[in-house]
Amino acid sequence: MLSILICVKQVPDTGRALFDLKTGAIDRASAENIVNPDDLHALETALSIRDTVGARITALSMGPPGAREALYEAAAYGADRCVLLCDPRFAGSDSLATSRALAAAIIKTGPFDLIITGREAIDGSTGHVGYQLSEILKIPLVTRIHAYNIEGRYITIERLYGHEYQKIRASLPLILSVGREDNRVRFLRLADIAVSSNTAIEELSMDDIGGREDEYGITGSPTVVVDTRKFNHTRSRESIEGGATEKARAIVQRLKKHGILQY
Amino acid sequence: MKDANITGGEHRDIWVFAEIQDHERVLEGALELITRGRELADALGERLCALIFALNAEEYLPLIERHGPDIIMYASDPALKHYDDRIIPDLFAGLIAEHRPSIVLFPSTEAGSDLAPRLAARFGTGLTAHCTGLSIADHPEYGKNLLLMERPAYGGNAIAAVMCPHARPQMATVRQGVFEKRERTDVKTEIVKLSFSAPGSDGRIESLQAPLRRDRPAVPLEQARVIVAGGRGLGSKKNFDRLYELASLLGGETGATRVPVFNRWCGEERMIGQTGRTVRPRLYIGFGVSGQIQHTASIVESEIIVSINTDPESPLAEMSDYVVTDDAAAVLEALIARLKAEKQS
Repeated sequence: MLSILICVKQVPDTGRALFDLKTGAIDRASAENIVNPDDLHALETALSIRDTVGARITALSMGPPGAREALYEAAAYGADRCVLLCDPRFAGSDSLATSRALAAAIIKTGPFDLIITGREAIDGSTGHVGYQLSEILKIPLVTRIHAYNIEGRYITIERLYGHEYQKIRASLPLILSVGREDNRVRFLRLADIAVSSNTAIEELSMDDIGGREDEYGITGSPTVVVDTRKFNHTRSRESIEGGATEKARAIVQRLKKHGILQY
Repeated sequence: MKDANITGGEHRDIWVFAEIQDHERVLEGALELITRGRELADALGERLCALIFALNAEEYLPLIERHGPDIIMYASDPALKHYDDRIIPDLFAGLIAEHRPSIVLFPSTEAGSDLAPRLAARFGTGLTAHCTGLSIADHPEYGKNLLLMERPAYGGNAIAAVMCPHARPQMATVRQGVFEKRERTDVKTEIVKLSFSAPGSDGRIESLQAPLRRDRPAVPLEQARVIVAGGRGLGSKKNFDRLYELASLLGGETGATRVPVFNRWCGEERMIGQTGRTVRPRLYIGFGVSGQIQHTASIVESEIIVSINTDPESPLAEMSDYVVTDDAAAVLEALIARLKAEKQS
């Protein structure tokens, strides 16, 4: 049976959150917290591997105590074991400091045959963590997976790369990065949601995973956000009226005015 | 011209990963980045170096040279035909360790988004992803002549300005289409060929077949003059397919939001709002596109934006020059008919 670790991040639902108009900062109180969408696709990949070849799935999340909710959700989907990496000293971590902490926690809780991450988180949108886990753990990473087949200690993968398809064979352990184009997440059953909040969650602190305090959190983060401002994209919004034919005529006329259409 | 080799001492100079796209052409985003890198290097009084790793890399030297780097370092080898994460990060890391650049810039492509975070992890330095602005700035606490990197934050609702005060090199990936490329004739370029021999495989990953090309727009969306994009509101692949005719009549390309791609109305390469793909056409028309933030953040720099959907309060309508509140498929047909009639007259 394979051992699979998936990384789960709790994020504010940026699509629905309110923003401070002056600073552009998110109003945390208005934002509902959700499991990062790509991470559910990572979990789906883990579940479908378990369905076909059998696996034990560990969900790992780094975050404040409230991130337990994300792990309960992972458990409702079917994660077997949940680990929360939680320590105030992790606060303010940039992508590198986050990758270091997750890698240390993976070493502490592993070994794993497969580590599966979402491609990127909707709050930070850096997409760095999968690659940096690959560097720190020295395990190859495969992205943009189109199809895969696991046979023993090998996995055959068809993947997209730029404008090309590649077919590769990789030996385990391996890191996979999964995005929303890669699969469809199964539906949760109500019965599973009901029992998931009874799931035991193991907690790890900075002391549990080892390393120095200056590798993590704000002190371990090489980048600093020096300013944030509201992004404004309002335009003139001239409304074009009439039936479809008149609207088409009016659009064409505007395009000519702007010199976009020339005969 | 100073010696290209700097060993030890402080970090200086700006490097750009001059990516070769589809092993046949210099990525437009690389030329844009070299152009911006030139301006930053001039502001700092430092040198700009472009790095090329490719099959037949010599072919690309003249075009890159015309965009004004002080130095081009290149390696040419069949093993460098495709970006390979078992080769390029090691090669690049060796060069950074040897020459100690102060700033390293990458296009936000699949390759750049792989290479940059790996190098950042190896050097324990900061990386700012998908930047939309780069400048040199001073900071009261962190000091002078730092790279100021701007990027969308909070799902595109804000712009964050980021610095990497202490660690080096300062690194950024930059969205394509953000800067304009420009040729520079006033710079004499020193060309350095790197010795390279392909490392043996560690056997952990092996290729089973040569990569296969798939469908893609004739012109990359980043370079398209006109983009007609379809979204959920078009309702079907049949309606979506009509976009190709309109695109052809307007001399443009067809793009898509997430929904058409997800429903397999078109290939993923047409998706706008995917990481790293900023489009900047003269004209963008969204058919049945409501405007999820990932999409709108990527089209905001279009010169003219037209929205055609049933919701006049949609995020896309908010940011449009022209708002058409109607069934997208119906207006699409009417537009095709109108343009055909005009071309015949």
